[in-house]
Amino acid sequence: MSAFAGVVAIVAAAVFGFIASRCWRGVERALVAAVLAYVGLATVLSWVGGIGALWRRGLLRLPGGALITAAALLVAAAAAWRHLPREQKSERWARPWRWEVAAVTTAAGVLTLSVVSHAIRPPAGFDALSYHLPMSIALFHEGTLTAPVSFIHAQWLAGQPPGNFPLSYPGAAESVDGLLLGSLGEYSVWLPQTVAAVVLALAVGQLAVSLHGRPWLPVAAVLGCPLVIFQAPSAYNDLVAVACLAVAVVLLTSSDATRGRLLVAALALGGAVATKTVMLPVAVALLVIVGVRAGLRARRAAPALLILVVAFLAPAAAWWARDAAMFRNPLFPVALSLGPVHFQGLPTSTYGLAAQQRNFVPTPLAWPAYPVFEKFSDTSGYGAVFLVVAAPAVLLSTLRPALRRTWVWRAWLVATLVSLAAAVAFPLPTPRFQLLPVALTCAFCGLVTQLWSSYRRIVVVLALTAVLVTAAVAVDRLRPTFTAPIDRASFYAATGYVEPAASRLGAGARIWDDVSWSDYAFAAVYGLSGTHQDQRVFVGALDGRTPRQACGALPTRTDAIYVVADAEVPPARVTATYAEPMFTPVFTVSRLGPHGVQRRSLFAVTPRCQRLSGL
Amino acid sequence: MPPRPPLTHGRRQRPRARWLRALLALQVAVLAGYIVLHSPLVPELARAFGVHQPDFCYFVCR
Repeated sequence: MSAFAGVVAIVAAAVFGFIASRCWRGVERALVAAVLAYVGLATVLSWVGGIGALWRRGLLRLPGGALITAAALLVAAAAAWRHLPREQKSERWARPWRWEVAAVTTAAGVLTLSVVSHAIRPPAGFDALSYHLPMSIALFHEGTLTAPVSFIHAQWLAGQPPGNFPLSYPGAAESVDGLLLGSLGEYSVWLPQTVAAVVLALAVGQLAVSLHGRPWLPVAAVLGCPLVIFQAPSAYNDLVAVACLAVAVVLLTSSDATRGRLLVAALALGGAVATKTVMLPVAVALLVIVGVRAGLRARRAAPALLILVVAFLAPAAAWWARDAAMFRNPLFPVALSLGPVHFQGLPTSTYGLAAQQRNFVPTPLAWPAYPVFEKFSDTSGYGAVFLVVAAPAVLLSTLRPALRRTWVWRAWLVATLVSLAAAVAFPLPTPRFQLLPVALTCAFCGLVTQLWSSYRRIVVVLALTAVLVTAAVAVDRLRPTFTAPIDRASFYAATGYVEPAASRLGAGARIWDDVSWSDYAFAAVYGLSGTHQDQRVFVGALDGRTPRQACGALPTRTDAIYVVADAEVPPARVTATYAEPMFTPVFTVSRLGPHGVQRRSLFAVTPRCQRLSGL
Repeated sequence: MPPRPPLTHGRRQRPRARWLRALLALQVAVLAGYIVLHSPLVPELARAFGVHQPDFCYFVCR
C-alpha cells in the first residue's frame, strides 16, 4: 500500500507539471513541467510535514502522507486547467549538425553509462550516505518536518561537531528522495538528480537559443560536465537546485517576459532555496531581476511584485517556519547576522569546506587555474568544453554591446558575481557551488560556432576534441564503479564502511554510529539502516567518555554501537569508552576501504547500560 | 523576433585581429595542457624518472 501511494503521489506531481505547463511550447514546456512537478511535490510534502509537526502527528508517513500529497497536487492541477495564462511563445531549436550530434551523443552516452552503472547498485556517495538519505528516512519515519532536527541534530545538540550536514538543508530534495525510498525502493533514488541533469542541459540549450546561438554544443557541455556525470546518479541535491535556478534564468531572461513566465521563475527560485540554503544569495539576486522585469511590464507594480514574492517564499516557507519556531532562526542551522539581529546557528566556516579545498587545489591562490587540473568526482569537474570554448565565448560576448544588453548576459553576470562573492564571503570554497555560473557560461559556447568561417572550423575541432577528452577521462575515472560489487551487503562492505552483520540486526534495531575515530564512519549511516531502512541509526561522538557516561549519552533503547576507527587510532581508545560490563564486544575486523585500512567494531548494549540511557 | 546580435560578421570574413589569433592559440594550448595533465602518460613518465607520486597527481590522477 505504501509503495502504491508513493507512486500515486509521484504520478500526481507529473500530472500537475504536465497540465500547468500546457500553454508553453517545445523545450520550454519540458523545463516548466519538470520544475513545476518537483516544486509542487516538494512544497506539498513540506506543508503536510509542517502541519504534522503542529498537530504532533506523523502526517507524512506512508501511505497517508503520499495520498494527501497526491490529492493536493490533483486539486492544483485542476485549478491550473481552469486558470491558464495565454500561450507562451518561445524560440525553436535549430536541427543539429552532424558534429553536434556526435558531441551530444558522446556526452549523453557517458552520462548514461554513469547512471546505469550506479543505478544497478545501492545508493552511493559520501554525502548521500552520511546525511541526505538518512534525512529522507527520518522525515518519513517520524512523519513530521521536525524529524531531521531530532535525528541528525542530535550530535549538535549534544555539543558535538556537526560535519557538513547543513548543506542538505532545508530538505526539499530529501523529501522527494524519501518518497522514492518508501515507494519504489532504494534503487530509484538516482531519479531526481538524473532528471535534473537533463533539465539543466536543456535549460542551458534554451538560453543559447535566447542568445540566437545554437543549443547543441551547450547541451553537450553540460551533459558531459564531470560534476554532472558523477553526481547525476547519486542522491545529492546540487543538480536539482541548480536546475531550478537555470530554468528560472531561462524564464526571467525570455524576450517575452510574460506574467506566467515570471511567476514560474519565482517558484523555481523558491524551489532552489528550499532545496539548498546555500543558493539563497544567488536566488535573491535573480529574484531582483524578476522583480525589475515584472515592474517594467506591469501597470500596477506592487500587486505583481507581491505575488512574485509569495511564489518565491512558498516552497521553503514550511521549512523556514519550523526553524524559526524551534531555533528562532529561519535559516537554521546557518548562523546569520543582519545588523543588530543575530540568528544563532553554525557559522559556515565550521562546515569544513575551507579545509576540504585541499582536495581540489594545492593552495587557495590556485583556484583561478582549477579548471585546468580539475579532479573528476561527484563534487568536482567542469569539463574541457567549459575551459576551452565556453569561457572564451563569454570573453568575446563582453566585447559586443548588443550582447551585453541582453537579459541573458545580465543574468549571467549577476549569477556569476553573486556566486563567487558568496563563496568568498561565507566562505564556501567548493567547485559544485559554482555550477550555476559554469552552466550559464556554457550557454555562450552556442555563439562561437557562428563566428568567422576560418575561426569557426578550428573552434568546432577544439570543441569536439574537448568533449571527447572529457568523456574519455570520465570513463576512466568511472572504472572503480564498474568493478564494485552489485549485492547490497558486499557493496557497502567494500565502499560504505558497513559490515554486513551490522546492517542485518533486524527491523527496529537502534544503532549508535560513533564517528569519534574516523570521518568515514559518517558514510556508514545509510548502510546501517538496512535493506528496507528499518533499522534506526543515531550519529554521535563519545570519545573520552567513561562507559557509564557513554550510556547516559545514548538514545533510549539503543541496541548496538557501531564504530569505524582509522588504523592509527589505538584500539584501547575505543574499548575505553565501550567497555564491559556496559557493552559487550561482538566483532572487530580490519578492512581495506576506498581510503586505506579501518577497523570496524560492533558492541552490544547491555540492559544495565540501557537503563542509564535517555538522550 | 529581435535582431541577431552582431557576433556574426559574415561567413567569408576572416579574423584579422591579432588578439583573436592569440586567443585561438591560447585555447589550443590550454586544451593541450588539459589533455596532458589528465592523461595516464604523465604519471607513467614521472615514475620512469623516479617521481612516484607527482604533486599534481593528487588532483588529476586516479
